Amino acid sequence: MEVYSSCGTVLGIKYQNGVLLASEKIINSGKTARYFGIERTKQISPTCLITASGEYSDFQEVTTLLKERQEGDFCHNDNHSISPKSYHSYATRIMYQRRNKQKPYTLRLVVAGIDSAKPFLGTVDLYGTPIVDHVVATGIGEHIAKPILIKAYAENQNMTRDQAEKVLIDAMTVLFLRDCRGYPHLEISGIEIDANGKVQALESKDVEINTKNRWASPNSVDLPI
Amino acid sequence: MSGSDYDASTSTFSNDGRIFQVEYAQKATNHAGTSIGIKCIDGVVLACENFPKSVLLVPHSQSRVTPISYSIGVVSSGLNADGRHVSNYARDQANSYKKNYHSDIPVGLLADQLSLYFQQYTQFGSYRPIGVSTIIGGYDGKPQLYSLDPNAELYGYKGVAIGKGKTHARTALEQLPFATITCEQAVKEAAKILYGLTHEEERIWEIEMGWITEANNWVFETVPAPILKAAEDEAKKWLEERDA
Repeated sequence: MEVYSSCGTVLGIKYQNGVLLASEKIINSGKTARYFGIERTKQISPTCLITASGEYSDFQEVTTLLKERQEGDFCHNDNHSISPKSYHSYATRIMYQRRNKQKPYTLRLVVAGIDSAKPFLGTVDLYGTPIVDHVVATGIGEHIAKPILIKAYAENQNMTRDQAEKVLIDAMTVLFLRDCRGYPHLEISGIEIDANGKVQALESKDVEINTKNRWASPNSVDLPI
Repeated sequence: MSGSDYDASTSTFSNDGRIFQVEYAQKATNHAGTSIGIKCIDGVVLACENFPKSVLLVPHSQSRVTPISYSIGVVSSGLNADGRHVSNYARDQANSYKKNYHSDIPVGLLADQLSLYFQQYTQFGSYRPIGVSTIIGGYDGKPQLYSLDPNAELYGYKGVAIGKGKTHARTALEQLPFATITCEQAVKEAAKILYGLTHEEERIWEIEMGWITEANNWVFETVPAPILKAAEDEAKKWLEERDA
């Protein structure tokens, strides 16, 4: 169960009317930077996004499975669609089933979306453990970046999108300065609900981390920690 | 058409070279609610008339126009349960193609696969033929429209009708300007054709329509209620004027 093309950290945070995700636009092979500019947030339904860190081919497979489920749901044509919560559950079943076959998808999946007009954010790991939380960090980000997200969310649970984006970029910067496989180009994507109740996925945005005059010491940069 | 000794099975020809069960299946579809398909310059419209069995049924709760994938829909006339079986099979085929090739199945290929499937039911002794005619409409780079009968004959059309009103409806369809017709116009024309069919007095019936249009990004959808209602109102007015 070796990972050949691994995707790095994904960070996610809820804000007042949506969920924002940040991921590094790179795929590594071991410690070698292998594929660049890869966007790995996929929209699987009008209200749901998924992304992941881990083996990229496994992620493509799971994306296909979820999209297949969405098309099957579309064919019912009954004005009802599978919610992100349900997709999170379905993804959990997929992951848990594979784990029990001793052939796990080496992934940490992140499911984000708008469920019953509220932001939803959840993850599943390669053992099939589902977690639903206000903030999410995968890979090494779970150790380094997540505390920043937790602190930011605790301080302000009603962030605007811009505030949320700043928190994510700050956390990613801290991460980039420590993670030897980090990459300064980020994909910021998300999904939100507007005042009229219309759910829309945000156009994904390329952000470059400003690394000038910054060093790996937390004291030398103007960051949350 | 009398059956004689050869009408109980699809495995034996009659003396004059016919397979009666297949012809009977065609008859079953000729007694069922009419369905129409119209190929337009910006999409495909599928329409049908439904006859709810009881006033107690929720309006529009039985559906014959069904999506097969994002860009393909079918409508069947005949035994409704057979129709659902056919659309289920079509979905499996479309899904399997997408799994293998990561792109949408060409409509012609799907129609071909369905046709081969229908053919099996006209050949093997333990089967009865499928009791529906099916119209397959979709988009695979351009709008496509096919019609398939229980005898497994498959043809591509600009406009097609199946079911009990098919003769009248096909005559009406022949008048349409297929080189210029848009989906919005086709919905109105389809409503007129269906309203123009003879309906028994007091019998409840309703129209159902689905389309695949450029405006909706070539994704199948049920024709939105306001558009359908406007088309029905126009058809009713047209009918009153015609009969006046």
